[in-house]
Amino acid sequence: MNKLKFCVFLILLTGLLSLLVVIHPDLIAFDRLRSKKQFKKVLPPSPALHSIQNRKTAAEENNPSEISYYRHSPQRSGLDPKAIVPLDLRESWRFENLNLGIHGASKASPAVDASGVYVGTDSGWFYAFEHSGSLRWKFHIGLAARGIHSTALLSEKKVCFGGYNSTFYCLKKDTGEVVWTTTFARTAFGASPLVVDGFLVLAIETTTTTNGFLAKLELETGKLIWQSRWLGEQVHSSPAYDSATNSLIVGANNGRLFKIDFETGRTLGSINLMGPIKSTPLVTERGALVTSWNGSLLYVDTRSGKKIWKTSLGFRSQSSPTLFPDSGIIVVGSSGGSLFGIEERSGKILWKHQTNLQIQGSALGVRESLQGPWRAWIGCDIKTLCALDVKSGKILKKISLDGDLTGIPVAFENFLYIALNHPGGLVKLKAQKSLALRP
Amino acid sequence: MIRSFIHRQINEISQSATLRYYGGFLALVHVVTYFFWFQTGSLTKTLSRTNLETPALCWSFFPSCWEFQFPAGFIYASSLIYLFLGCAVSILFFSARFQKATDLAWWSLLTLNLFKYIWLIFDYRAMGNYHYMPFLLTLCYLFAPRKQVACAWLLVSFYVAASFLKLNQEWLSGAALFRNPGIHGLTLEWMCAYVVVLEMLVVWGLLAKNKLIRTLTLIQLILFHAFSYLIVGYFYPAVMTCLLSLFPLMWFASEPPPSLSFRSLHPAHIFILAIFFCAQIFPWIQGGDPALTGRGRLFALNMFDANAQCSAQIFLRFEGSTFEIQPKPSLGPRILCDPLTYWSLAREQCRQNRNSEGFKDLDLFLSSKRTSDSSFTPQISISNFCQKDPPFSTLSFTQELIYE
Repeated sequence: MNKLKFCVFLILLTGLLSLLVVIHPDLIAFDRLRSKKQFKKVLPPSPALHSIQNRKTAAEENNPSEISYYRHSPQRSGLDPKAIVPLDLRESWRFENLNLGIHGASKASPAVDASGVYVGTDSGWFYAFEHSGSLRWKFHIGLAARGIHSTALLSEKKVCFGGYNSTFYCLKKDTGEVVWTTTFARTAFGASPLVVDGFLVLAIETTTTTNGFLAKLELETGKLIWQSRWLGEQVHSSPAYDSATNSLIVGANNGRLFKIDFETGRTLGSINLMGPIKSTPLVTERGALVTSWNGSLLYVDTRSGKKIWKTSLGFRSQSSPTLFPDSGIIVVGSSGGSLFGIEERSGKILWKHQTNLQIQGSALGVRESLQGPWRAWIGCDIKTLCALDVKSGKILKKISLDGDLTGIPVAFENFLYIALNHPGGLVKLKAQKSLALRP
Repeated sequence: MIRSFIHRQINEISQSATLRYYGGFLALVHVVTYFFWFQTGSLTKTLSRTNLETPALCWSFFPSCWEFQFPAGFIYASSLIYLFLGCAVSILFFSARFQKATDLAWWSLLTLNLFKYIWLIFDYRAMGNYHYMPFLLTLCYLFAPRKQVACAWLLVSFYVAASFLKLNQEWLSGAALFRNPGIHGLTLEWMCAYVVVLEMLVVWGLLAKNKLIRTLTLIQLILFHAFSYLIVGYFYPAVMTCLLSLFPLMWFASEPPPSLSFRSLHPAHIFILAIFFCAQIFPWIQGGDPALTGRGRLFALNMFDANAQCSAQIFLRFEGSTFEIQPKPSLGPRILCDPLTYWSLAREQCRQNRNSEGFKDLDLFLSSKRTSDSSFTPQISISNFCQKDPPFSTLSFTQELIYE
């Protein structure tokens, strides 16, 4: 009888403990299906979970004017108001074989400020040059088959970029020493980072499943503030910031343009463009402009989500639009080889150039002289850089290159820097004659 | 005094058929170990330092192990001697009838263990519970008084200590299993919970007087180890089968089995068990998560404590250039994320690059987490690693192992 009691007791105890273990919420690692009616599959917040190595630099990240962005501003305007680039340019120096032709995505554009020229490559090298062309340092990211395709961001003391090896780096500009890195497992950084109010915003693609998300980090330390929910597809598009709604505007390969709250990372809304969005949105006072692979340029009111207008470009596009303020004209390209000048007010096509190049790059807007007109610099043909008159679309200058330009030209003072596809390199172009930058 | 002590130990074995046969099974563990270590050639490659993917990984107490490189021929010959010894010792135990034979068997088993554990200290990769448990049990067998009682209680203690390692989300959700046994969801969770109950409570049935209880307990343990083959392979279940053979030997021997009750414990047994449980607790009071710091690997059990994930970066700095290495050594899941592994790899990089042109130094970073953790925890963060040459301390009481 005692044995029987003992056995029964043991069985009951085993059952009780098992039940406790199974139903106690603290002891369950993952959500699981409880009933069909209650079924709501909750994905983990992102595929990763990151690691940070943290070293402090002197506090220096809160001066927004010291930040150098891809497309020049958090709104991704593509306009450089400080530089003056005349039409008569000649080569100052070049660094050969910058990119090796790995991967078909647009190559990283140089990031340039007073301290130097910084550019990542598809071979995994990241270079820092002096303005004279001498190499200051180089840094190789590990285990990245596709290297670096995003354009770096420059702060006063740091240069930050992401690679196709799941890791985002911030290095010291003077020495190339690592300040911090953060890794989101099994992801890639194809888009260029954004900084708003001392916070980094990254668009991240996942590689084991095709998906993507945004992450917000502290620029100084790399500490994660939030990760957005899954966006449904990979995010090649660089996010832009809309100050009117304090939100981030970003496109994904599923054709959706998302509006994400900057403070919380919550998705506030999205619209479907019916084609992958690989370009960077441009945020204006009226809304956001974006191209997509369904061959259109869409202008959407970011407050209401309503379409302002939509213009067909005739072929898919991954060129980011550039709006020129003096003329109210948007310059954008398509992969069908066309360059367009489109009226910002109505979406009407004012001019169109047909080229032989699948235009993947975007226009740089820079003045030709002090008080002079804005010019659009863009890769306009095979191995050719052009300067266009924005109002008429007339090509004012053609410069032959050794490789195709799939990124954007970058201006600094009187100079243009361009990073070319293989077999071209990094080229600095300078004015034939020096120009005054200020009256 | 030592002689008489050893003489007493040998006497006890020679007078008990159970103990003689059990000695044979303890020697068989070494035969199985030979196949595990040497037949695949993995340890040969490791000790001959021809595994280019993963160079020498040294224990923290033997940081210069990399200097010892053994010719493959020497390792091969030694492994055959080890196999021969293992077979010979087990045969000796199984057939020993006289004092002198037992005498020889006792010394041979001791030698066999020394042989094995000398190999083990030359590379951290050779570590594992399946060496830790036979080592302790053999020491108990060779030196403890009333060996059957001592070994029985120590075996049960292994399971109980292992059960406490499993009281976490990682195990109970099934996330700790690094190989899927083909079972998912609720069924897997129930089975993981059952294992905890089996190891924590049911296992005490081995010490019961009642035949039914102890037989049922042994059957459950056998089934558990048989199933674990799907996850851990053959070696672990084979070792545990040899160790657990003590119980059926005791039950079916012609001599009456000793009482295994708590009252029958000798003070030496209590001392051994106290030391054992203190060793299990020690890593937890040191700070940090032992599953991630790897601190317990030297003197505590670590079976399925976690399926750790980690991210390691080594930045090699030269004049004007820096190379990042993200080491992903091909190692078993138990030590793949151990800080000691990356400490060894960094030291190897320092050695390799010491005379390279323009080499300045390297920085080492490692973060790790359990599968069920939401964020990584830094374990190592140090710049100028080669210059600083930090020691790896497994006995300190700080959370971080190597932190700048």
